[in-house]
Amino acid sequence: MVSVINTVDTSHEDMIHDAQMDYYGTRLATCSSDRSVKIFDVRNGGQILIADLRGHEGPVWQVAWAHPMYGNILASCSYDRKVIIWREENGTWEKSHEHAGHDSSVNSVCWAPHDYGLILACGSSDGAISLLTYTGEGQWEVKKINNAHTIGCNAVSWAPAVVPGSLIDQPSGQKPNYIKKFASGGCDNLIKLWKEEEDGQWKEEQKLEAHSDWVRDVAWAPSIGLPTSTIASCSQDGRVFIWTCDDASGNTWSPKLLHKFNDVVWHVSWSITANILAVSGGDNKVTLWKESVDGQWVCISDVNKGQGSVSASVTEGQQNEQ
Amino acid sequence: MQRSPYIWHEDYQDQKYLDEHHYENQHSSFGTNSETRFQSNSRNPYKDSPASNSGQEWPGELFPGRLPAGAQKNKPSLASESNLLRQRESGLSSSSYELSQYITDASEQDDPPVSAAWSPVQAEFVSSAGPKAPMKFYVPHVPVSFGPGGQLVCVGPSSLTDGKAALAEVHSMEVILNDSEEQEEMRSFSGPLIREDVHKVDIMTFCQQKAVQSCKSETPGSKDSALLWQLLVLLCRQNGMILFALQSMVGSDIAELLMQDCKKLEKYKRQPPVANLISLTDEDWPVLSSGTPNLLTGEIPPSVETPAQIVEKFTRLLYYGRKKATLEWAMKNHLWGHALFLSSKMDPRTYSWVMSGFTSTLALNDPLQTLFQLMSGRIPQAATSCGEKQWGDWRPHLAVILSNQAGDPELYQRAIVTMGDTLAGKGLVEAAHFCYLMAHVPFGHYTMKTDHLVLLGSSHRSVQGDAPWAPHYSISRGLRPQVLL
Repeated sequence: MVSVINTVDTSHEDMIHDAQMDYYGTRLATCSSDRSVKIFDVRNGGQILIADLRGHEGPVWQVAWAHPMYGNILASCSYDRKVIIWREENGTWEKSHEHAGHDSSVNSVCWAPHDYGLILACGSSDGAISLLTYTGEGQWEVKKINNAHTIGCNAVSWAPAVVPGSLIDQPSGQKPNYIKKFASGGCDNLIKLWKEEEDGQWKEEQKLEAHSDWVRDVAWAPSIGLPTSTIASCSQDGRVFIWTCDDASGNTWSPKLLHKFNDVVWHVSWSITANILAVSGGDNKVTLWKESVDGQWVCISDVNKGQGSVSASVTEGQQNEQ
Repeated sequence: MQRSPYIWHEDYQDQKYLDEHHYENQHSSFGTNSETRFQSNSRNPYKDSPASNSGQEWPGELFPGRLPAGAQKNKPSLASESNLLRQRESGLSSSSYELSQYITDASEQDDPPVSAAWSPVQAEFVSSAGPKAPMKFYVPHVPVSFGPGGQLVCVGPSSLTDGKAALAEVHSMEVILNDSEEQEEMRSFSGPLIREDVHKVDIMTFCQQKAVQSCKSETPGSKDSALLWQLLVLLCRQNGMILFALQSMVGSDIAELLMQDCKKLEKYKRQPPVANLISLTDEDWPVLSSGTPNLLTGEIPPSVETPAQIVEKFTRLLYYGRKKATLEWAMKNHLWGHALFLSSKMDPRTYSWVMSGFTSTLALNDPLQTLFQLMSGRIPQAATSCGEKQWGDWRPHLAVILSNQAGDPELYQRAIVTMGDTLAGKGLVEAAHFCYLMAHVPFGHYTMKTDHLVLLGSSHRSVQGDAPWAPHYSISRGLRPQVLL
């Protein structure tokens, strides 16, 4: 049975680096080495180009949708060292803000949980992570963590805004005290967890070491209220680790190897309910993983199965061209 | 929008050509194994190679946009091919290679022919940029992300080969996981459980199916899970109106459910009456044997006595007013009716003495024992001993308690909860939960280990987490009683 329910011809003229659906699943944003960001209306199986956003001067690496309560907002980051925040006003998409505070390619952008406000984390090859907070009237406040990762930061991912265990704890009636945290992965082979202190400064809280090569992606799993926090990380070394922390203070993280692939793993992404992890690697295959009752991660699907394996067609293509 | 003066925007056609040319070269050099394209460990070939594109980092080859338009001296295609081979054959990992870019001498970057083609602004940018950053993605890859409604978005395969049709595919997770067991269960489940939308018949049918499934299954505890499912059916049928404390008749519906499988009533072995410390005669029960004179009357009892004779003797003893002896005689000869009547009219101590004498003839695990103990105001033995194989089936004990509730309801509740605790302690989670439901134990919280019941069918206290219930399964069972009751 074919699982594809919609195919969007993005007409990008070069490699596509990211494709993200918005909060409601009605729009799809894509970005490419052709330096453009495109937005499509994908309701009911359609593909209508809504916007072709130009503004970056290099390959655009990632896009991220902000929570709709703030309006229709999309962030993009690029090799041109810039982060652009685009906004839809009166039906048209325009550049709303440009952040040029990095000295090198900005590799990753991620919006914080909407409970914290409109905050964007950006990770760059200059090793720094900047946090942009919207303060109103078109103004953005910038906080920068310099030397977050030596050589460069490749990925940033926010922790969910739920206090671990809150779904099933006795409701205490008081507003939860959010502690803002996010994870970053870098070229120093490390995953670092960052926490905002009371004075508003960001401090490195944890250093997770397990990879032997550049960390390419990190993804903090959405919370379903259980007392565990989970982070997935993938690396140039072909490994994907699942990190879990059981105690509420967040001090002891233990890694579990999901799988060792034969090639670099580029992306890891959690499903909304956090029970399925999608992994995409250098072999251009997408696999889906789930934790079984005995705690082992098993591959539950190879997305390309049944539609012609991607690697097979690439292989054939290569053979033909020889 | 003003186009940047950066060279990348210009000569896009050239770049595109170079792109394609590159792919071809790559494929021809690398053969069919796409995996090893950039993974091989190699020494940095660039520093040594005369054809190296100084200041150009390796991945820049794929994105000739980085390449100044006029820089013909750097024939990227040829150079890259040999470098690709070298890259592949030597040992450095690609990321280490990228790292080595930063070690590139800054002076190598200023290429006179290059800067001539650039405007001063651009040259400034280039020279002040320092070591160039590696490209985040230097080969085709499949970005993947989840959509909010069970979608999976990924870049389609064809876009990775010819770069032409740049397709993004939206997959349905439901279809992808179509054959999983959980999907099957989800499909058979008539949820979501909204009062207006779901007819109770559907729920009952679902529960019945589950019960049948459980019955068929041979796993330990499956009979008890079948019981829980059937209980849910019963609750549905009665619209959740089960009032245990007040109407024993309704309690008897549950008892019926409990007893349905106990077709053959267990034979509970009768015990010989035991010596009782309260006995006013300190001697042991005399053995009935011929020839032994009765110490009190001096008579020698005949070896076998007919019931009539037993009663006759009973009466005779009473003529002499020897009530204690009478009672002993009656108990020894299983003349319980007489013994109980007589003792009930005497002092309470004697009465309880006879009663315990009577109950001691019942097997320890006889449900009658359970009931009598409970009626006497004690937590029955069964509550702390059930679940053991030797003890036998726990269900008749619960049945007998439920159908005959009288007296102190708190005691009855405590007995049932204790029973539940015992069963839980023995790992019989479903059985324990059945008991808790009967005792109206409220659902508690996952984190509270002292709570008895959190999710039906799962134990929240065990270190490993839950018994192997699929998450939605547990949730659905946990929700139902709340919804219906």
